[in-house]
Amino acid sequence: MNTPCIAATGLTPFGRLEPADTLDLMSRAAGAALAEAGLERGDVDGLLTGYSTTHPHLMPATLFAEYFGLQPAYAHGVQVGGATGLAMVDLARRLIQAGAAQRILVVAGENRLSGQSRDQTIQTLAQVGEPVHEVPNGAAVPAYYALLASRYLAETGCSEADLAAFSVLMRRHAARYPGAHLTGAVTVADVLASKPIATPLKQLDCCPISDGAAAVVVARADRMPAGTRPARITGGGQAHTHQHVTMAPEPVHAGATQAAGRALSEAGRRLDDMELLGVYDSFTITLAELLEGLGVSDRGRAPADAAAGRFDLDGSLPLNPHGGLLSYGHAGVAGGMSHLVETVRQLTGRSPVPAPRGPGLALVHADGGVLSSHVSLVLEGAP
Amino acid sequence: MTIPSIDPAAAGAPPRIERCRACAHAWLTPRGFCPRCGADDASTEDITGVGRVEAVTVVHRAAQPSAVGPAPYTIALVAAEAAPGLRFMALAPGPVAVGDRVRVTRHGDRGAPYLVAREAAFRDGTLEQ
Ligand SMILES: [Zn+2]
Repeated sequence: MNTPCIAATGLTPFGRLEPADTLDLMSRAAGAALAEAGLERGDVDGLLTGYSTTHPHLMPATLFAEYFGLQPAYAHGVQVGGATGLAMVDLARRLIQAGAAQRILVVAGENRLSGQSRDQTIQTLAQVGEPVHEVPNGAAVPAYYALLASRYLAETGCSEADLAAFSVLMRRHAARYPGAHLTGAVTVADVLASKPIATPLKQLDCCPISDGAAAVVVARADRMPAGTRPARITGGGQAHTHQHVTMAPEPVHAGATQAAGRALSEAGRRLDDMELLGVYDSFTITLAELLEGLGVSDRGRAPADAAAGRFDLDGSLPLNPHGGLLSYGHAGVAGGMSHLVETVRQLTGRSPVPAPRGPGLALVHADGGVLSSHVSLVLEGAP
Repeated sequence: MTIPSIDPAAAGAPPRIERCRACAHAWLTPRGFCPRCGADDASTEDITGVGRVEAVTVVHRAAQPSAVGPAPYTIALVAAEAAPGLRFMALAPGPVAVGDRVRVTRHGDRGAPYLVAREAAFRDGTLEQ
C-alpha cells in the first residue's frame, strides 16, 4: 500500500543553543530522524526545507543538502510562515502518492534566539503586515494577534484570565517534556501580572523566541526498513484566506474550518473521532481561535474547555503534550513542526509522556501569518 | 524601514481607496485592477473615514517607534462605513474602545498611516465628511 507515512522524527531541545547556527541545528534534527528511520543519507531521494530568518537564502534546500551531504532527486524550500512545516509534510505526502519520490526528508531549524536580537526578530516577522497601511502604524506580529484577541474578548465575553488557561496548560505540559525551553510553573495570576506586550496580550500570552530544529521522514511504509513504526498520513487540507489582518474573513478563523474539513473528508474521519490534537499556539488567542475554528470547541468556549482539563494529557482530548510554542518554544518553522513530531511520537509509542488513553487518531493544524494560511493533517497510528 | 512621523493633531485628509467600476468592490492597497472580478477599470476615490472600531491594542513593546512616536501607542482596526468589508488599521491618539464610532483621517505623504479620531469628536458636532 502506498499510504504516505511519517516514518521517523527528529527534534532538538529548544532554547539557547549557541554557537549552533541554522545549518548545524537542521543537521542535528535531520541526523536524528535518519537514525530513527534506519536510513543512510543515500536513501533520501527528496528534500523539503523551511526558511530561516537568521540565514535567509535563495536556495535553502540545496544549501542544506550540500552541508548535510545529500544529493536528492527532488529538493526545494517552502514558505508559508508558521504553516510551513505542515505544508511541507502535506506536499511530501502528495509527492509520495504521485510516485515522485520514495523517502523525503522534511527539515527546518534556526538559531532565532541567539542568532539575532529580539528587535531584529520582531522586525523581520513584521513583514507579514501590509507595508503601506499596517506596518507604518508600528504594528508587528504581537500587535496583529492582539487585535484578534481584542475582538475575541469583546465578542465572546471571555476575559484575559480565561485566555491565560492556555499558558498555564502549555507550561504544565512542557515541565514534564525533555528539551522544553520554558519549564517553570505559571499560574493565571502570573500570566495576568506579566508585562504587557500589546494589550490584551502579555508576555506569558506570547511564545518565546527559541533556537531549535525539527525533521521528519515522509515515506511509503513499504519502502522503509523492517521495524519502522510509522504514523500514517490519511488526510490533508489547506486554506489560504488572506495575508493581512485588515483583509481577514468573517469569521476570522474560517481558514481553519476549511482546512480541517478538507483533511477530515479525505481521511474519511469525523472531528469527534480525534483522540489527540497538535495545534499551533503562537499566542493564547491563536489557540482559542484555532480550536474554535476547527470545531473542537464552541464559540467562546475553548478557554473554559482548557481550564476544565479537557486538553490535559489525561483529558478527553490531549493538546500539545510537549508544551507547544508557548512553552516547548518557537524556533520558526521548526516550532510549527514540533507539534507534528510529538503527535507522531504519541501515535507510535515513542513519546516521553505517553497519553494514558493511548491515542490512535490525531489532528494537527497550523496557521501562518495572521490566521492567513492554514494546513491540517490527519494522522493515524498502526491500523 | 524608516517610519515617517506625523502630527496626530493635524486635520489630515480623507482615506483614499480604489473601487471597481464594474462590480463596486473597494480596496485599500492600490493595484489598478479589481481583485474580485478582475476588471481593469478601477477608480481612485477619497471616502469618508467614519467607521466602527472592531479591535484595539495598546502596543507596549515595539522594535521601532510608530509614526506618532515610541511605545506605548494605540492601534485600532476600524470597519469603514463607506465600503462594507473594508477595514482601516489606524493609530489612535486618544483612548478608543471596541464598538466606538470614529473617524479615520489620512496623514503622511505616502497615503499612510491613518489616524483614528476620538469618539468624542462626534459628540460635539464636529463630524464632517
Ligand atoms: Zn470588480
